[in-house]
Amino acid sequence: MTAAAAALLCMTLLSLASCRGKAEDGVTVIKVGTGNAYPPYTYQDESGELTGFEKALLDAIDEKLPQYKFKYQVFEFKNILTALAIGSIDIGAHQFEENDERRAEYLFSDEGYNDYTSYIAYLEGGTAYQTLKELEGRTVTVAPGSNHAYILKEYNKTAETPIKVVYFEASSIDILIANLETDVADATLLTKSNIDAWNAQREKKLIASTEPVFVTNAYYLFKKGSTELQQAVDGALRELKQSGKFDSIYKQYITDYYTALGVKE
Amino acid sequence: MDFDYRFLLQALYGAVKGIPVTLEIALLPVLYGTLLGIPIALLRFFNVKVVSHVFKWAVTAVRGIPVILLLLVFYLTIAGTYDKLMEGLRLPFTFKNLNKVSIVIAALTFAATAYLSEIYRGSLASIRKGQFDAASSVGMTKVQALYRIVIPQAVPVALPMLSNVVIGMLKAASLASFVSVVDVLNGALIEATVNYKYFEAYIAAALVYWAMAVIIERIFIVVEKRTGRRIRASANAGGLSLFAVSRSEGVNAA
Repeated sequence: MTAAAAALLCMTLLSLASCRGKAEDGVTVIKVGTGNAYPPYTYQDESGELTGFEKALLDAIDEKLPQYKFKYQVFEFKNILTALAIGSIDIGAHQFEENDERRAEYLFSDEGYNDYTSYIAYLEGGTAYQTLKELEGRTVTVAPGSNHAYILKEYNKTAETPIKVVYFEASSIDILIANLETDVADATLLTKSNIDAWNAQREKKLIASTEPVFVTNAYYLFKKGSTELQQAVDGALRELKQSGKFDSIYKQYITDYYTALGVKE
Repeated sequence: MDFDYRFLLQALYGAVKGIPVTLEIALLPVLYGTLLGIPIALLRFFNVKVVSHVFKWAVTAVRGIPVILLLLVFYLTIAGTYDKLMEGLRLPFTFKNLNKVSIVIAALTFAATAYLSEIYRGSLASIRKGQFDAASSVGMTKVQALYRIVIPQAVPVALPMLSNVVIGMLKAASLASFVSVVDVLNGALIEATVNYKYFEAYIAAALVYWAMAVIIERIFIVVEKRTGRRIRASANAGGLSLFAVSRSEGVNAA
């Protein structure tokens, strides 16, 4: 029974690992793992096609790199990392943030490509929180595996009274709102754009703290050792930033998305 | 890729901490589902007018709903109404203090009742109806025949399917993460928040699930053997047993 199960696992891993990119006419196929449930960054349009800021920017990077051809595969957030760890994809793109522990496991792009600064968010009419210190002994709801969960974990290492953490799956935003409305959680951590997007669609508004609690960028993830690919992507990204193309993609996929939702800039 | 065995142990520890919650979420719905499912199975087995039809459609409807959907609907409905209801009843309970595990148990019980009622109905149907006639020929009432003859034979039929449901529930319990409950899978995954080592975390969770599933399977095999043996023993001790009646009936039919 156990031997059969182990054999099955090995077969699954082998089949995943064997789908590595192969060279076609000197062009290496690069498998990019991203999500499909995080608008405006990565989601499916009405016809079911993958779209969003992640894909648009990666397509532009791909155009600058004739030696590579990017192919996209969709995973749930956590599984992008699993796929990268076992080598079935070459790049992970899902607004990932870096830290020392993650750098030990993966290679990060040197260039960031989106501000992922986090703020405390609480429901309007509720108690206002400006700092993590004020949240000590309170409950904060975050998605497991998110950078927000990481921020709390790190903060609690040195906190006098730890902040209690309640998890909600990132794909079930209604649970987050229900947790806040029913006082299951006192606050959450989000980016400004997340807060704006949800406020545009919901009656009960989320209020962001004046100051951020964590300042960071989003980066691409690579397998350890794929320095060549990382440098190529970084170089292309830098060129796109210099030429102004990056800004136009950002405007088209992020700024315009929020404007369409009725969020004031 | 470097497989981090030290982190595997750390994730394993996170997963093991979730075992009590996972067992609670997996086993209590099976228990409650049995208590609710048996009466439904009996009503349908005896074809009780109207009620039997209502349950037939209800069971079909519930079996067609994904468990995750049941869970989200239960959580959001209870979150939206609980505080107002308790205020109306002047009870000092709030949703904030409600153990979220109980919501998962309620949602899974709903699903389990539907699955289990079908299993129990099927097990009852596997016993020849002629045994009721045989029982009444020795002066037993229908209820006596059910308790003393039919149910003891239906139990061994139901056990392998019941073991499937328990193991299925064990895995369905991992959906609890959607409603802020930390079980085996999420206990392991949360450990990977800092270092993104989800591969090791998934392996850790898999090991714990395998161990739990193997143990549950073993328990059911032992129970199946015992119930089978006991029934055979009581059949032999009875001399002209109802089993013998059933067998001779089978021969005649053939």
